[in-house]
Amino acid sequence: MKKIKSPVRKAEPYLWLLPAFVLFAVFTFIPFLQTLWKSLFIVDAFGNIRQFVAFENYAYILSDPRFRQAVLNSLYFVVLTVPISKILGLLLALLANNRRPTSVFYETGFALPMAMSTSVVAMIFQLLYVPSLGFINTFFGWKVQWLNSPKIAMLSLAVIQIWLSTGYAFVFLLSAVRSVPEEIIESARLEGASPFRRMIDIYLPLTSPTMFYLIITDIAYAMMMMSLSNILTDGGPNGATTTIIQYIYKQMAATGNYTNANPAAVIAFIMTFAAAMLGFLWEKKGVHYQ
Amino acid sequence: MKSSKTLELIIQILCISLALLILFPIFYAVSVSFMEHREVLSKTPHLLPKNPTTGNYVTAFTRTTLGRYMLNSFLIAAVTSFFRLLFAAMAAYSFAFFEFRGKKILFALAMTTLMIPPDVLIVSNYATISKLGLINTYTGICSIFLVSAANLFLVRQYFLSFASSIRDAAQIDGCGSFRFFTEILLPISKPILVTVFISSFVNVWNQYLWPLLVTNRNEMRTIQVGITMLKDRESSIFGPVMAGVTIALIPTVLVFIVFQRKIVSGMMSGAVKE
Repeated sequence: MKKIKSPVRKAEPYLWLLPAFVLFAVFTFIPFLQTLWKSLFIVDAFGNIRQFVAFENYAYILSDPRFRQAVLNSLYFVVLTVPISKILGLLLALLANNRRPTSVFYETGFALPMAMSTSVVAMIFQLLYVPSLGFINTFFGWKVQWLNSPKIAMLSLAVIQIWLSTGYAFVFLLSAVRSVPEEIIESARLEGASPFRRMIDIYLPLTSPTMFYLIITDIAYAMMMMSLSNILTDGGPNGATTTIIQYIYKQMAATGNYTNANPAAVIAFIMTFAAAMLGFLWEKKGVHYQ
Repeated sequence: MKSSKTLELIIQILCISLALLILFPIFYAVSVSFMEHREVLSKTPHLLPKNPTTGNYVTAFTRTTLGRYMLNSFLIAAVTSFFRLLFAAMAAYSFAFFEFRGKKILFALAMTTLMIPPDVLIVSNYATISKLGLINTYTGICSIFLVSAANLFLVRQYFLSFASSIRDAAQIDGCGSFRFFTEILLPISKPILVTVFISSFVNVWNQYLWPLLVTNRNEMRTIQVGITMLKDRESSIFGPVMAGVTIALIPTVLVFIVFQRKIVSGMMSGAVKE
């Protein structure tokens, strides 16, 4: 072997990185900087910069009631879906904790929704939600306008999202619950702690790192929701289910308005980033690593 | 301990009932897909088709381009997952086995991409793709999914478990760096590569927003986008739509049931804090 590295040798590690980093640059770093930069300009329908306006675009969309509603809708959706799917996931995980002869069946059943795509599930729930002949209304004898009432539509979408994400939470929490040391549970049982107390005092703190991971990733995910409302309600009725990403999509795809789409995208990013940062603050206080 | 045995039995029955309840929407969709038109529209709830028929499937395949949607999705998911895996493995090889200037910074840079949701980049990415004339092309649809920092991280973790001495030993035996990668490293890393490929396939198969944005010709739609366009707000064609839904969910559900362990362990190792 040569003692002195040839230029080829020196370049080798970078060559292995090349394809990944070219793609990162073209589809993540550059577009990210471009979005930031272009958000300060008036932009034409082809995405070309026309005129520098500093933060006027931000002022404009922040005063646009439709955008404000979209921001609030996205936050509302996060609040509706993230906590419930985690609580349900934890309850299912505690229920499935012990290994039993039929474990494999119900564990697969609990987890399966995570393999489903949003659009397929949306189509199924659309049928279940039909007011006149959908299964839910006919079975219970209700007359609820699941997707057409401004007050209920977002709740109906949230139910679908909870259905989709509980399985994911379950899978992670099951493995967290199972890794809680046997002795701790045993000693709590000997001290006469009720199952409820055991959940609050033992399982909740000891699974908190997993819970933390799930909540952080799911907040980011739920904040970006647009497929459900795009497929089922088209953002309606009356903008009641329009989310931030859907607002961006509509600005772009329907009206070619990049001037509004860019600052909206930056605000969407800031919101997810802020949520993650808040999460990390909470992590310092409330998350217990063994 | 008879009482605890009964308790376990009760819990099992409870769990199985819960699982069936959770899966109800899927069963219902499959059931409706075999129902006759009249039955779907009846005002009393039906759980199972009275006279099961495959008519909805025939309609779905002959009257719509469902077959084409499926083909598009298969091609896109398979090709994208292949390249994702290849590029992740190449970069992971570099990060795990080489020492070079800027290694830490480059790795950190790659990981920052996990902090940026792809959905906030669609505005710029759409402009790029349309300037390159890639609207309505497979390349355009695959483009933004071709590299994944999460996959890179996972594969790197796996590579790090091999001592770099095996590479030195291979080198002394006259095995070049490229041959080491293709003939030794990739074959022994098969378990992680399979895991990454499968979860990537499910992930790409299920994408909605980007394929919706960069296609406007019907024959270029993926199944996830196409399926939502079969719908009719008058709700009269639910039978064929549910047939489409059933067909669209079969690949991922099958893959999930068969490879559940692999997929789950893959996700976990990506999430566990170091």
